Amino acid sequence: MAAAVGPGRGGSEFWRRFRASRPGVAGLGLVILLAATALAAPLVAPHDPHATSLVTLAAPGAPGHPLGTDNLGRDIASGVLWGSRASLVVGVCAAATAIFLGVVIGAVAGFYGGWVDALLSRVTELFQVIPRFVLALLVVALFGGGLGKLILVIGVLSWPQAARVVRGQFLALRGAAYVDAARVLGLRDTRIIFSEILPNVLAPVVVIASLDVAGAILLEASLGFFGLGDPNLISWGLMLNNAQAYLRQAWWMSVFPGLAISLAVLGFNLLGDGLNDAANPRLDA
Amino acid sequence: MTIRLLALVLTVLLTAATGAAAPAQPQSGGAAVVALGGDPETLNLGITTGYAVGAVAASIYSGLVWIDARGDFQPDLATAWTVSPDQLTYTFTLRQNVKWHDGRPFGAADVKYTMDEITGKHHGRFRTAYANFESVSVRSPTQVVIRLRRPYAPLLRLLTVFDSPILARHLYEGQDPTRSPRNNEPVGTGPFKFREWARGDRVVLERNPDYWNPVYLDRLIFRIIPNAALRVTALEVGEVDQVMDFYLPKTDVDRLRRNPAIRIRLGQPIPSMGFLFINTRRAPLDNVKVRQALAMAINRVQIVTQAMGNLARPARGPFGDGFRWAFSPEADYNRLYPLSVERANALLDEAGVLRGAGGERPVRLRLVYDSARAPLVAAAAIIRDNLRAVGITVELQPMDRAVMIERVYTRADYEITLQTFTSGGDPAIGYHRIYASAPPGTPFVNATGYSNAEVDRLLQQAAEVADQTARSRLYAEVGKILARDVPTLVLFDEIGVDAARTSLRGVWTGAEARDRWDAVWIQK
Repeated sequence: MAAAVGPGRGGSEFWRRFRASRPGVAGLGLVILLAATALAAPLVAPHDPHATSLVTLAAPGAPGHPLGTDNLGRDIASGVLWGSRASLVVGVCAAATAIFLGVVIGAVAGFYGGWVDALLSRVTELFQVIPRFVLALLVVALFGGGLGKLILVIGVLSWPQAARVVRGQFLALRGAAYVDAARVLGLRDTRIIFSEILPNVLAPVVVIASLDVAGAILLEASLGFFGLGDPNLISWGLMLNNAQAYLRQAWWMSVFPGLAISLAVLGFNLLGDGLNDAANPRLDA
Repeated sequence: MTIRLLALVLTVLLTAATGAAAPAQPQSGGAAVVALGGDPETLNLGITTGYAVGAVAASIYSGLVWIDARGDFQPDLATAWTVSPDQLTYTFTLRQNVKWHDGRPFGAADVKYTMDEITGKHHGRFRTAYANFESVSVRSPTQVVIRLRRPYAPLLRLLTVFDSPILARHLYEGQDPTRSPRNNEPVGTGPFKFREWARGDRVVLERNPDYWNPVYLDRLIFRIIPNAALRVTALEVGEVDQVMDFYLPKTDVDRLRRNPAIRIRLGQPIPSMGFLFINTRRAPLDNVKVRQALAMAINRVQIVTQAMGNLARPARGPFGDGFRWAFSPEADYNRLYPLSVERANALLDEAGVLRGAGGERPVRLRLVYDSARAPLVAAAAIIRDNLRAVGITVELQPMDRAVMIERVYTRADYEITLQTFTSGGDPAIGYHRIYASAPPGTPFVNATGYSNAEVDRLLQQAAEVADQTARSRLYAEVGKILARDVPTLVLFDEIGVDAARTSLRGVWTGAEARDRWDAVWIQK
């Protein structure tokens, strides 16, 4: 495990290596595009995405509807543009939740070791073996799929990966000289964990965060596809769900939101790859 | 000149063609296959209103009357009936020389026994009619008299095989009818006899040679196909001859219509409607002007075209237009509530729910609906959009059917909700419960909190009077009040769709696609 790419010292070095990673740059480009779309949706969308009209199932290229309309005459292009917001918000917030939980649990387990580690590791494994999608489906079906709930469910089901990596790093670093020095100075444990060790394990965490965002976007879309999203939001998954009955009549209802999901997930995955290349130079070659 | 000649030739050819297609002689023999979505729960039609049970058992048993495709009563086990002037005594003359499938003779005692001991106690719909009964008495082996405590207008409707099938006393006497082994091997007086039931696969019936009408099919087979898309495919490839409305996915209807080997019957004659319930207990929906504004803001035509795929008619009033005699121009939504954003806005302003700085009114309505029903999902999105145009915010709350029933009927925890109801053949059977005062808590009765003593009185009268002109007047009167108060906004009258292969002839002589298989034959 390539441990520390120290923060200050390696900053520009990290960025140099990231720029050399082609997938990374492509991913970053897609992510920036997604973020820009989400921010600019109200300005660039030709229509209100909820607005129905009597122009039903218009094919792409119809006047005023570059990507066509759905069964209620809603504009697909506007839906795809606005849908980026739900995807990005759910993806980033759920990943943040997962990373927060994972870091805290992994750090505590790795730092203290012993029975604390044994206990937390079992809990981590338990969460890892639960089929994530099925559980998310169940929870959302029972308690509803509002934005907050989606973020919480996806976040809570996604933390184990971060926890395992952080735990490994902490196990390796807790015996390091500077940690011993901090102990001798009488620093409190929380201070040692968060201020002394954590900055040294951030690089792999950033990589996992990027992958977690991709996973969360995909999970949100899948739940929407099964009709379990929040219909008060515009979401790519729900657009796909609605498109199911019209596969034979209106391919554009499924293709464009599907393409958007693919690009968003691809973007964050590539970004994760690039970050990984930059963080672990020894894996190159 | 040439054109005229051509026209003449064409006319002759067309006449010849239609002449050839004119009623052909029914042919005997063969088997017809009908698709079902699931196994019947039992084959005793006297203890359940289950759809699949009715589909199979309607051909095994008989009622006293049946209802034809025009909605008129026809003789079944009863060949004639008279009603006393006070509407309290119904005398039925029974068909002679009818035999049960086991060879024993049928008689008036079977009718009395079935009503008193089986359907009157266990049948969901007949039970409500039976509550008005004073007695059922046998005057002679071929005469039965029903005496009522108070007049009950829809009585005859509830004497068809679906609501009041007649069962054999000699087979059920002394048993619990819900547990009788006969329920799996039924014996009736209908056009087909029971032959076998392979659960999860098929139920097979065979011709009853002793039936009073000619029966053409050798066998009538019900195939159980749970997957809706597969049912339609089976019809398209000819493995199945008929799919009834209940089992036909509406999204496929357009495709079936274009298939020359398939015939479609639109407009099932048993009216049913889609409703928007408005919770009148909650401000500002307690204000009639706000409810009237909703009626003008919601685009019923758009819901019919986009959500119902045109398999419905935009609603015209509180009882729809399915019962022409119960429709009154004074309660006509088209006149009272034409689509108008301006008038809806004006009404909302009058009601004091004024637009804020952002153009939105301080009204947030939770719209509750069953998430599994595609037409309602689409209708909800349309209503949200319609109401936003007048500054009202709608929060969509799709949910599982069981949760929906609890939220709407048990707890009345909603502002507006989408519901569908069948009339059961008479407004008094299906629709009164929606408008009559009732405490919250019972599924599928008034959940809006609307209570109006005058409405209750008129509905009660409309159920008791048998004369249709008098009923017409009562429905006009109550319809006027309900249309003005809009405790529920009727959105559409549904149009049922049945589909059958064109080789299946003589279908749909009854109001119900499940009825009258004695008249069906196969064109070879």
